[in-house]
Amino acid sequence: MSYRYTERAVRLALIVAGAGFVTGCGTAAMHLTTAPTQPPATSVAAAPPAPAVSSEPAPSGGSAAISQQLQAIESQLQSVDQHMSSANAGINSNEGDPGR
Amino acid sequence: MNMHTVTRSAAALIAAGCIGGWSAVSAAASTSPSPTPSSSSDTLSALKARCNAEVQKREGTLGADMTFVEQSASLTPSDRSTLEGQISSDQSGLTTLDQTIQNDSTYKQAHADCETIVTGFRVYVLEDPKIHEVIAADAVSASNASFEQLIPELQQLIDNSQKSQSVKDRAQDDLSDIRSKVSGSENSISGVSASVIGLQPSGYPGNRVVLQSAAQNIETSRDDLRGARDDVNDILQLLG
Repeated sequence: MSYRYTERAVRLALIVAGAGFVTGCGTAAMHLTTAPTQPPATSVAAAPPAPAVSSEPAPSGGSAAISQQLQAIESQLQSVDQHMSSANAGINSNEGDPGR
Repeated sequence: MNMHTVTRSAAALIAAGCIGGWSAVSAAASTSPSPTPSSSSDTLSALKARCNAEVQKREGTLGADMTFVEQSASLTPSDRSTLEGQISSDQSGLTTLDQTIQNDSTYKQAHADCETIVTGFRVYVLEDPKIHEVIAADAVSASNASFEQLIPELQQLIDNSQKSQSVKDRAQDDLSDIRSKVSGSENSISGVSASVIGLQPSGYPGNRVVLQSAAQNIETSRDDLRGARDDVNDILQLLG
C-alpha cells in the first residue's frame, strides 16, 4: 500500500470517527441537559378564541337562528377540547430539575 | 508510523476526548448537592446559563397563558382577574429569581436557587394546567348558559312545527334528553374553577389530585354537552 493511499485512508478514518464523536457526545449531552426539563407540548397557540355566544345577534326562534347559536357552542366545545389537551399534558408531565 | 498504528492512535485520542466530554456533561447533570466540577468558574457559568434558559422557557409559557386569559371570551371577570394576577406574580418572581441566580458566587448556591425555578413555581405541572382548566371550565359554563337559552327556542320550534305528531314526539324526546344532559353538565362543572384556581406551588404534588379531579369533571360536562349538541342537530333535522 503506497504512503499516499495510507495517508488518505487515515484522514478518512479520522473524519468518520470525528463525526461519530460529535454526534454521539452531542446527543448524549442533549439528552442529559434537556430531557428532564422539557416543557410539555401543551401549546394551544392555534386555539381560536371562543366566540362570545351571547353577543351574537341571533334572531329569536327559527331553525336558522338555532343553527347559528349551535355553531357558536361548537366553537366553545372545541376550545374546551384544546385547553383540556394542554391541561392534561401538563398534569401528566414531570417538570424535572433545571439544575441538572 | 504505519497505517494501523496511526489509526489506533486516532481512535485512542477520540475515545479519550469523548470520555472527557462525557465527564463534563455528567458533572453538570449530577444531582449531588456538592458537585465538584473541574473548572468551577466555567461550570458555574454554564449552570447559570442553563438556569436562565429554563426561566426564559417558563416566561414564554406564562406569556402565552396570559394571552389565552386575556383573549378568552368565556372567562368570568373574577377568574380572569385572578389568573392575570397569578401569572404576573409568577413572571416577576421568576425574573427576580433569575437575577439572584446570576449573582450567585458558588455553584452550590446557584444549583439550589435553580431548583427553585421548579419548586417555587411549578409552571408546567400546576400553573399552566390550572390556567387551561379554568378557561375550559368557564367555557363549559358558558356553553351551559347557551343551551339554557336554546331550550325554550327549541320548544317553540317543536310546538310550531307542522310535522306529524310522531315526528314532533321524537323531537320532544330529544329535547328532554338535552335538558337532562345540560343539567348533568351543570352539576359536573359546578365549583370546578373555584377548586383549582387557588392551587399553590407549595401544595404540589399533593394538590395534583385536585387538577385530575377537575379534568375529569370538565370532560364529563363536555361529553354531556356534545350529546346535547347532537340532540339539537337531530331536532333540526327532524323539523327542518
